Order: sequence, then C-alpha cells, then structure tokens
Amino acid sequence: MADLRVWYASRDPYHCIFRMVRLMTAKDEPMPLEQLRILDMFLMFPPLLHRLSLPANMKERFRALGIPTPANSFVRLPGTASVWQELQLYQTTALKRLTGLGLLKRDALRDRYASLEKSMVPAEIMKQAVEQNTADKVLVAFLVEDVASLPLTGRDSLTKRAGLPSRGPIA
Amino acid sequence: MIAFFRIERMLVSRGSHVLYDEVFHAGVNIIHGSNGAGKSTIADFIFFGLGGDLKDWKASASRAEQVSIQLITKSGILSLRRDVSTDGGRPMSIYFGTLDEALSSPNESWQTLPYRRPDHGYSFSQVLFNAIGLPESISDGGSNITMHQLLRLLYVDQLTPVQRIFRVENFDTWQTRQAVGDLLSGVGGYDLYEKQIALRETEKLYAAAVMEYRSLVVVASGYGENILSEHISAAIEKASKERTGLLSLIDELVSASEEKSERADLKKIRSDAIKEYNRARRAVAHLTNEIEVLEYEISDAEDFIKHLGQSLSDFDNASTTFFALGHLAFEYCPSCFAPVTPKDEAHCQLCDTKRVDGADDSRALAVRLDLQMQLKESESLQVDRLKELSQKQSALRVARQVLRRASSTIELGQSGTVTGRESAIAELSRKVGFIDSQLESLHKRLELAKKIQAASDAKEDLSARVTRLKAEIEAILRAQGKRKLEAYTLISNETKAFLDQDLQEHSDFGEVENVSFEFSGDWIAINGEKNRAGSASGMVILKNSFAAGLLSASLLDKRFNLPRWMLFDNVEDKGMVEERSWNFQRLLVNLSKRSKTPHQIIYTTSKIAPELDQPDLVVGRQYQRAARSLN
Repeated sequence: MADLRVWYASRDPYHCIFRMVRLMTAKDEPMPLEQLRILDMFLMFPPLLHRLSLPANMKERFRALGIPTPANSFVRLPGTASVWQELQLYQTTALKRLTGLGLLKRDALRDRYASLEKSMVPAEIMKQAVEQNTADKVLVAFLVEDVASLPLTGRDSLTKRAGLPSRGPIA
Repeated sequence: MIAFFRIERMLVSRGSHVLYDEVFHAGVNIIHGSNGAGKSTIADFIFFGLGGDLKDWKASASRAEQVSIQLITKSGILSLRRDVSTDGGRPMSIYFGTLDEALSSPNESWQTLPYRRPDHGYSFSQVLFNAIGLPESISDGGSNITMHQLLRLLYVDQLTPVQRIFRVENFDTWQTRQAVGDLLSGVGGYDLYEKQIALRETEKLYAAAVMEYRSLVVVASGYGENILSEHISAAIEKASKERTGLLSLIDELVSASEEKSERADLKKIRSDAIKEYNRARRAVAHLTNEIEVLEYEISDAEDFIKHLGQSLSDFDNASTTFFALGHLAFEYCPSCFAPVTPKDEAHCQLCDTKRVDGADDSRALAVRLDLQMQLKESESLQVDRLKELSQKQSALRVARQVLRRASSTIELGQSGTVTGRESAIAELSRKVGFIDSQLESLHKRLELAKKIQAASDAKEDLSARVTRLKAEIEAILRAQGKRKLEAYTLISNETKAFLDQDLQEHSDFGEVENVSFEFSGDWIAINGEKNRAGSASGMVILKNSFAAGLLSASLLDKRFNLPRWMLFDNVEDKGMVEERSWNFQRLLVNLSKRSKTPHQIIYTTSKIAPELDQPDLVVGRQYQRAARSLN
C-alpha cells in the first residue's frame, strides 16, 4: 500500500469528523443530523453553495463571501447530488465513530440531533477546530447561522433548495 | 513528541546473498567479538546505512553491495537502503513501511532521494529529519546540516583523535559543528533555522540583485546619456510629436499631388515595408499568444498551489483527528457498498489486513511528504514562470514599437510620392524614418531604465530584508542564551557523573571538578585543561563519557533534539584494561535501565562484561577472526 498515496480530504472519514466537530463547535447548540451533513458538504466544497437556491437577503450575504463558482474552482465538481451521495459514505462512518466514542450527546441523538459532548473531544482536535473556524470565520458563520436557519422540511426545505435526493432516516 | 529514532533491523547483502541480517532492540545493543572480527565494519554499515558519508571502507566490507535498515522514527517505520560505494554523497532509497514489506515490493515503491538538497524536491536528510522530528537546518557557514553531520556526533568511532567531539572530517567548519551541537542540544529552535535559511537565501538574492543592477548600469552607461526613465519618456514624447508633425506635412503634400504612377524603386520600398510589417505583426502576435498561454498557466498553477496548501492543512487536520481518535470502522464497503463484516480488532475493518505498529505513521509521513514536495516544486516553477512572463512582456513592448514603425512606413509607401513635391516628401519621409529609429532605440532604453529601476528597488528591498533578518536572528540568539546554559550545564554534569564512576585505580584524571566543552571548537576539557596529556585509555573514557553524557542529558531533558541514539565503536580502544571497559559498559547499561525515555545505545566490544552476555542485550553471535561478522 506504500505506493498508493493519493489523498482527498472529502474521502477521508477523519477529515469528515474534523469538519463535523468544527460545525458543532461553531453552532454551539444541537442541530439535526441531516442539517449537519448538509453543512458538512458545503464546508468541504463551499463552491457548491452557488447551486443552493437562497432567499434574497441571504443571497446578498452569500455574495459578500466571494466564494468562487464551481466553474471557476480548481477542483472540478460533479452535480450536487453526486457529491452528496459520495460524501454520505464517509459521513455515516464519521457519525458512527463520533457516536461510538461518546463525542455526540446520547439524549440529543435519540431525537436525531447532533450535539457535541465538548469534554470528550481531544484537546488537540478542539484547538485545531477553533483555529480553523477563526480563519474561516465568515464562511462558518454563514453556514451555521444563515444556511442552518432554512427549514429542513416542507416545500422550501434546505434539501430541496440544494437539489438533494430526499432520503429516509440515516444511521 | 521528542526527536527519536531506533534501528530495528539491519541487512547487508550482495545480490541475493545475505551477509548480515540482525534484529536490534530498544535500549542497549552489544556487538561483541575478538579484534579483527568485523565489529567496526558493522558500525560503519550502521553509520553509512543511516546516511553517513563513508568512502574509506574496511577491506572486509568490500563484498557488500547494499545496506538496508529498518528504522522506527517518531513518525513511523521507514526502510532505508544504500548501495555500498567508495564514491561520496551516495543517494538513499526510502520505503515507507517495514523491510519485509519493502523487500517484497517492486523497486518502484522505493523512493530514491539524493544526498544533497536538490533545487526541486528533497534530499534524504530532509526526509529523515522530518521523520525523526528535527527541524530542517543550516549552519551559519552556509552548508546544510545533513544526516551525515548529525551522525558525526552520534557515532564515536575509532579513527577520530580521542580529544575530539565530532567524527573527524577533512572539510569541517566550526559553524557546522556549532549548528549541529546546538540543534541536538535543543538550543537552536526552529525559528532560528528558518530565519537562517531565509537569511542565506536573501543574501544570495541580494548579491544577484546587486550584480544585475551593476551590469544593467554598465549597459545603460554605454548609451552615454541619462538613464532615468522619466527623461527617456520625455524624449519619446518629444520625438513622437515631431513625427506627427512631419506626417501631417507629408499628408498635405500628398493630397496636393495628383500623379499616380509609380517608380520601380518605390515599388521595392513598398514591398520591403510590407514584408517588414508582416514580420513585426507575426512577432507581436506570437508574443501575445505566448503571454496569454503563460498567464493561463500561471493562474492555473496559482490555483494548484492554493489547492495543495489547502490539502496539506486538511491532511494535518485529518491526521490529528486520526491520531487522537484511532481507527474507525466502515459499515459498508466504499467500493461495492456491500455490508462489511466485523474484523479482528488488530486488523483493518475494511480490508482485514493486519495492522503493523507504526505503519499508519509511515503512510501519514509519506502522504505529507508527497504533498510538501509537490507544493515546493510548484512554487519554484511558478517563480520561473513569473520571470519568463516579465521578460516576454518587455519583449512585446519593443515588438509593438517595431510594428508601429513598420505600419507607418507602409502608409507612406501607399500614399505614393512621385509628383513635383517628390523631393520634399522624400526628405520628410527620411526624417520620419530617422525619428522612428530613434523612437525604437528610446523604447529599448526605456525598457532598460525600467529594469534598472526594478533592480534598484529589488536591491533596496532585499537589503532591508537582510538587515531585518539579521536583527531577528540576533534577538533569537540572545533569547537562546538561557537555554544554552541549561543544556550545556546538564551535558557537563552528566559527563562528570560518568567520569566520577570510572574505576579510580585505573584513572589518572584526579579530582574532576568540572567538564567543559565547545562544539564549535571540537574540544572537551577537564578542570579547564583542554590538552590533557593523560593516558590514552583515559582519553577514550573521556570521549565515551562525553557521548554518554550527551545521550543521558537528552534522556533527562525533553527539549534536547538528540534522537536518543548513540553508537560507540570499541569502548575499550587504546589498550584499556578489561575491568575498566566492563565498568563503562555497566554504566551504559545502567543508564539505559534507569531511563524511561525510549532510546537506543549500540556499542561494540572485544571484552564484554560477563554478566552482560545475554540475548536481550547482545545482537548477533560472538564474532571471531575465523567466523567474522559478515557471512
């Protein structure tokens, strides 16, 4: 295996865990698992936000972020649904690991909410997560405040706006 | 994590024939046998296998073709391989994994790295430093600190005069010794070395900028006129005005003319002008095209560099998460989506391969190095591209001027000038031609003036950076004073402790009050006496005690960068009596037993202390003249 050294952050469940810790730290309150997964996808690939249909006021705040469009990004991205499909595998693994290690609060999980048990997060991960969040302050704030404010169900749901296939409950 | 490495296995081979293959353990490793049985040859192979530069091989080593070492480092397991040769600066092949894996893998999975730092990419020393946990470093003298330089302090050999600290070398500077000593004692921090590298690079750039500035000024002074761009611009403006005036005069004369016939010479002028025009047009088009492609490449490379930087930071985050949380399990196979059946705890939960301790670290190191190497290479290529772009842009400015001249010549030709005012028009045209050539040379000079300005700016900027870096280095050195005192005192005390425990009936040291030393000066002194004329065996004890003291200090103080490793060749050199050698060996074993920090001590002896002849301390069998170390 020593000769196989292609590495993609999006295909590394450990990086996914790290992103999820970042999002939960930034949000600092429980969020639905489905929402965490969608936010994780946008944190991994911010250009995909261009394909998200946003209400007018939010659109303006998004433009201010100056994120390159998928066409102008170095990494060529397929359709949002494909990205979503591929990420799901790693997200599920990451969520299981977070649950198994007790990094997600059990009572919140019962209601399908993700809430970080901060005392369980190893200090070095926490430190790096906070550092990264500070570096990407504006994007992270847009994700956990604006995008997260969109409803998860109904005609105008986040899933519909993002063009994601609706799924049953995930692990 | 502290700097660390340990040899786990060494294999010496000739083709498929194994000459030596032994497993080493943590702590003390004793290689013993009678004189001339090949112990020093083994020590030399260790030194060479780890990256030492060795040209003078012992005769018995001549049969060996390759030395391979399985090394455990702070960042994982590596396998190193070098071809035995009498040439200096041999490269090293590295495999990120165990030697067994490496030997069964195709040759392409080894990565061969040069001895010296290449323009693009890494030297093997840089990779090993990275793995061991050492900062990349340079000495004040300008040469890079390599594995070889490091090993000069970690290998106490027999050839070096006993009063020296470092393994003897022909070309040796005090700056290198100082830098190695400080680096291993943890005195020189990463900051200092980074700044020293930056200073060295900046000084080089400054020298180049000064040279460029001077040569440009010499070229410019050939024109014998003012070289300031504002003066040249003013001259261009004046000449252009004059030219416009002349052209309108010609126009007036031409419009008054009614004669249409052409003369043969005029025809020739016209066709030449068209040729010239086409040439100039092609040159402009060609350059414009090249610039466009180059600009595209630059912007693409810029994105790639950004992407690599991001990947590196992402990888570090993922790596931190992995090492903090440990392996995770896949429920579904990422390839075929079939459910994954649970595997043994010590196996990969996806492919069921048995996990090897340290293998994850090796892979992480390999991926990280790959990303770093790509980034470094891309950045240096980008610098070349930017330079090329600026050259092409200035060539384009000149080419455009040539095109302008050619097109106005054509305009004149097309107007035709064969009327009674012919001579007046010809005279005016001649003047326009003269001004055109003047303008062309002025534009060239303007380019030159711009280059001179840029070179002068660059020179000043670099000079300011050099001054700033020097001040910063000065400040770091001042701040290091305290650490240096602590580290050096600890080394002195530990050395003294070893000397105090030397067998008194054989010792001629007398009362050891203090041990002082200097890395840069390469000396050790007892009670301030640098050139002790003691017994030869006493000097061997002093030299070995210093190396042991250095190792002991690194085991006590985490801030030492010494990789907790030391190799002593023949601890009883120079006719030492058996009891005295045994005593020193016991001291080494005690030091190892006392220490909780992982470490490795390898020593060779012809007089092993009887109670130390145990499998957990000895490596290989007892070697004899008749049955030497190499098969």
